[in-house]
Amino acid sequence: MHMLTHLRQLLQRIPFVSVQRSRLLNYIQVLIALIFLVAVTAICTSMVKNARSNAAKGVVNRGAIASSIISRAAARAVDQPTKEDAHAALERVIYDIRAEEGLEFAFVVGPSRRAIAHSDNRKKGQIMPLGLPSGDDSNGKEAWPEEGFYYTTYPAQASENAATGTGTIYEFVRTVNLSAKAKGQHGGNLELHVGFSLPGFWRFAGSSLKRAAPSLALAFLLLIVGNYLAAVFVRPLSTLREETAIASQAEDDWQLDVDATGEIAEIAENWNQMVGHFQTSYEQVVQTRRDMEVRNRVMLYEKKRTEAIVDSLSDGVMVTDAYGKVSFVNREAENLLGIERDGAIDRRPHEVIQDKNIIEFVQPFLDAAGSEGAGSGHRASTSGKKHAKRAVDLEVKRKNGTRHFHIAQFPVLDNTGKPGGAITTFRDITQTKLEERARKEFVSSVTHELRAPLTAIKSYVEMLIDDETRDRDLQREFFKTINEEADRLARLIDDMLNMSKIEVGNLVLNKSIVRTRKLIEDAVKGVRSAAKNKSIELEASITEDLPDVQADKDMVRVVVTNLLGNGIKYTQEGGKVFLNAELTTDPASAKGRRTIALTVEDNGPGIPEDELDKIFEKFYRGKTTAGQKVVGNGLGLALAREIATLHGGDIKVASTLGEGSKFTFLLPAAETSRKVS
Amino acid sequence: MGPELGPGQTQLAAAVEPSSAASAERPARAKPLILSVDDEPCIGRVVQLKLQNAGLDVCRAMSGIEGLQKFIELRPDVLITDVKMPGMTGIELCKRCEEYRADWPFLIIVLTSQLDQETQAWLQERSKRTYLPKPFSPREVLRTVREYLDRRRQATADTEEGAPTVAGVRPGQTPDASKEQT
Repeated sequence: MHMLTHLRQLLQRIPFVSVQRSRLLNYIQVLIALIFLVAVTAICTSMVKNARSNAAKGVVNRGAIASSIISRAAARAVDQPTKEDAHAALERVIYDIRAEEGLEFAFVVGPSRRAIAHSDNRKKGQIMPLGLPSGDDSNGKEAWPEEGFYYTTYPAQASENAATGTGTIYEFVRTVNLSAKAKGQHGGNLELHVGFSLPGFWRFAGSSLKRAAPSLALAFLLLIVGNYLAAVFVRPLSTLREETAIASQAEDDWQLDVDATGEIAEIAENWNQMVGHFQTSYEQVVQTRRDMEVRNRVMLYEKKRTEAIVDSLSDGVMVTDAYGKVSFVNREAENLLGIERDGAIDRRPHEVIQDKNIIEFVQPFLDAAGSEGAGSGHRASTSGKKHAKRAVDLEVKRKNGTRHFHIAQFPVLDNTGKPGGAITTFRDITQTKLEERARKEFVSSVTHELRAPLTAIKSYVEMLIDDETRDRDLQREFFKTINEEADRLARLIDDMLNMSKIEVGNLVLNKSIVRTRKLIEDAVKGVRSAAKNKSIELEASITEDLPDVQADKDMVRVVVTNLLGNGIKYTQEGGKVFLNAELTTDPASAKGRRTIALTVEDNGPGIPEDELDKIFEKFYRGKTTAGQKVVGNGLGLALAREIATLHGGDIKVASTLGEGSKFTFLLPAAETSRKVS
Repeated sequence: MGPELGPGQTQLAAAVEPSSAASAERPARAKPLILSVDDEPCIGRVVQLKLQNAGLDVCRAMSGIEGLQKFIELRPDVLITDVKMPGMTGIELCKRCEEYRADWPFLIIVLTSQLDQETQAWLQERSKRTYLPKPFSPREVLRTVREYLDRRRQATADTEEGAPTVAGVRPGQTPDASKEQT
């Protein structure tokens, strides 16, 4: 069987065989059955032969015993007074023996060779052979120790008895030793012939079978019963095994389909019930898992969205937990505090924030909240304050200079109302502070600038009223000064109005044809007295062909005046301011648009490179070489650039520190504009 | 007309330091000397004219540093100054001038429109500082100067047993704190 398994395995490995494997296996099974049958046959044959050989020995024994008994009985019978009586007695003996099993024949012959007595009455008196007939086996002659006894065997066909059929006849011959009297009466001793038949192989087998029939029937019955039992128990078990094997590999259908009854069916039913429970539980688990996945995704989305919202805030946000550890930092907080989000999480603020001022403000609140959250005792009087929002404006030193932060802290209460951490927000209010300061300075500056001409006017008028100026020339000078100061006041108010228009964003140009040459000359005249006061040499070069332009006259005058005023203001006494106005083509324009370029050049202290952009900012105030502020409202250049831009032009600046600055006002001259005389 | 330095001479002012040489001799003068410091020429002009018409000597300076130079050089009796000036401000000027309190008596009159907290606090620091808000009245300036000079003349007369001088204090005279009390 081991080899068979091996063979089966071997066959299974051959692909093209595997298709017909089952049929092949069937053949093998038939072959096995045949071999089995042959073996059984051989064993049976051998058993039958053995039994027959034993039976043969029995036959010889019985023959010897029977012939001995009969010969003695015959000898006694023959001792009858008469011959006829002797024959009758002999016949009775022979007759009595007929019932002996397997007896084929028995007869007695005298010397006349006629059968004196025969088991077959018809053969009485017939001539019978004397002596031992020739046969297959003559061993008996020697084997048998008793004198006058022989036996031989021969095939039954040779026998006259048809009833024996195939088989072997054992013929025993024994001399019946008669008494002397009887011997004389019968002419000598008589010969007894007894024949026993041993059935042929098949007949013997048949008779054996007949004998074994009940036990065979029992065996067969047992076989059937066994088979039935196997069918009842083993096959469902096997099916169960196969079904469970299939079910265990299945994706979702684990129900067993076992056609059985009894315990197997019960097992299958239990299994199916169990699987049913499992399946229900499994489906619930799957559903729960799916729900959780959905919930997780929603939560993740919510978290991401919240983070995105908080990240998009312009304020820095730092969230700390009940233990004072950072649990969240938004992008702006990273920027403002110069920290990394990943590096800050789960650490205490003072471990990540560099600036001491910030820590001093932030930490005590966190410590208090944290220690209270952890259950540490605190005075009731102060705990109320800890839950309130607190805020502070701090100066923070950074690489790029001092920044102003507005820091606010809000306590976060957990579900139970206990402090569960804090949210700290950071806002860079540097710009606001600067603007605030600039605005204050501006107000202060404007106040001064407004009061200066007013002071002059008021004091001069008072002098005139008090008649302090009797001299006519002096009076004229006073009136002139009053007039100039009034103009200055008006200009200042204009500047402020324009400035506020820029602030609101509705500076509208009131365009008309502007005689540029005249306008520039007037502006130069306007600042000449200021230049004279500082002993500044003011030169102006205006080309003759300067075209008239469509522009807002007042605005353009503001630009020119501001540029000249700045030149004078920022140039030290005895310096030089040079104005040049000419017609050029705008290099920035592809069409080579005609543009008036008005340049104001001074030999003042110049502007540091890093301030070149700032000077156009509102309220920005340049400094002199000594770092001193120059009187002004910080609006001039901002206003000038705004006006230039509104006209489609620009103001450019070039400066070399220590040598001077050069401002260029580019004012586009419209193609259609005609020169107005 | 008092001495008036040209604008070009302000450059020299940077070298001015309080020196013993300057305080060693004070020119004797019949009339009190008033120093007016203002970067606005017309303001300086009107103050000068008003006080000159009243018979006082007035000299002018156009900036804080020029004012300090002239203050040390001329030892004026009254300093009239603006606060908001380019360069050295009026407050800085006053602080520097007050270092000479021990050398001679003088009054500081501050003319200003700038009344922010810093300036106000500074003004109230000492009673010897008087301020007149802009726009100011020249009459007020003259009155304040006159009052101070009269009061000082009176005080000098008291301490020197009825020997009033026309004006000012002799050089080398020890300044008395009490007479400057206003």
